[in-house]
Amino acid sequence: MNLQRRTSRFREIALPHLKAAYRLAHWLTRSHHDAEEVVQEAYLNAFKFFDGYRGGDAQAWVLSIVRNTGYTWLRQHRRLELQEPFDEALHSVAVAERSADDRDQCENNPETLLLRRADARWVRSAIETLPVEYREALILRELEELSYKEIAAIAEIPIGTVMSRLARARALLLRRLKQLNPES
Amino acid sequence: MTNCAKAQELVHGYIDQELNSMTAGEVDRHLAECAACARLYAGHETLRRAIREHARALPDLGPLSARIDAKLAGVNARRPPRSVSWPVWGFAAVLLAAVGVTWGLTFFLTRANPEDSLADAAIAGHMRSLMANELAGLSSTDPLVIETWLRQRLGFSPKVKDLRGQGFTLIGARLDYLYDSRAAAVLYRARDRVITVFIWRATEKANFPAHLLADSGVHVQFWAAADIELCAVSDVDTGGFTQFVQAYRG
Repeated sequence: MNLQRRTSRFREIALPHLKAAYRLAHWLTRSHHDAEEVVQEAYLNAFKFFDGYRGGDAQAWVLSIVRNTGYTWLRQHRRLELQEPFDEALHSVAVAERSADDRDQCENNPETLLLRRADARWVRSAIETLPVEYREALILRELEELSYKEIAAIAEIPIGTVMSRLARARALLLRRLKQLNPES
Repeated sequence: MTNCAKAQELVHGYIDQELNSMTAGEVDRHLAECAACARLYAGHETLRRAIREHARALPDLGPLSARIDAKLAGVNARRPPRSVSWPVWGFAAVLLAAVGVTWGLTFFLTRANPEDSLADAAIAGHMRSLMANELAGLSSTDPLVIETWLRQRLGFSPKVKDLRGQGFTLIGARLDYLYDSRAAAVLYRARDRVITVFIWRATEKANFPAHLLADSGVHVQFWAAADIELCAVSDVDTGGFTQFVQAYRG
């Protein structure tokens, strides 16, 4: 394939997913500037390895490369050590839901909490405090609306792990929202 | 009859519509009967709405899109003028499928100092040697086998040295990029460390740093032989690294 055709085919296939790419990069790096850097690098990498794209889900292909580029970036800039240690076995979902400070979720009614205070900064800050693996699963599910199977492929984890990460991410996010509640 | 603990695990699959209809039905029935779990479910639904409402916002991606377009054009411009037909390698597909492979190329345009960028690119490439769960290339201890394999894929003949006498064993090789030049990455083992030797065809006279020691303790050494450029990268100790480079340069 000549260069021009290769480039225009790449643009056709990869550029439509720029928004999803940016969103993933943004929530991994937690910075607009760094997200742009990661996305640029990811797209260039994708272009160089375009021969390896064999058709199929272009969005998953692009997001997979963005994710890898993002994690490399986090490692190189030593941001991964600043994350909370990530322990998959930390809490079973049931325990997380029934732990002491979550029991009053039922009394305190999270929906009233959240509906009352439509504060973007509050929600975004809380998401930013989640460990990166939880954040990643949450973002891919809630913002890109990917299926568990698609998330599993991109994050390279089993499907069961997708559900349990989402469960913990959501439970943790609710807890963080309460902790960071500007009205408390 | 589902109990609360089970329902609370499954509610997420329920929310995401990932449960089969039988299981979804069970959760449905439990939520109808259990006020506490129903409240939990409602809370999660509200949370999802809040996330979607507040976390989706995007800045204007026009400038980013334009920058990417420009860089794509730049990549094409830097290719050698003679059009080469690259064979269709399984390489790229294998790399993308391999767990844990990372991409670490930094680009010249984003840095003030091109020498640093080249060293960064070399270190990032060396990281790929350490991080790939499977060698996405060729495993071999035979220099000739590796040379043939590389020559068939790269269009030039990198020289692969047998350094067993000096205590460095060949692991294998893969195809890689250094900067935007297609390169061979030849891997050696030195005690418990890995040494990557990048070999690529020089496209222009470049001033590259001779020997660097990165903060992380990684040695990087560049040298040239005729129209071929090489770079050794490793976190082996200084003595071992110097010995390796001397042996390779021969």
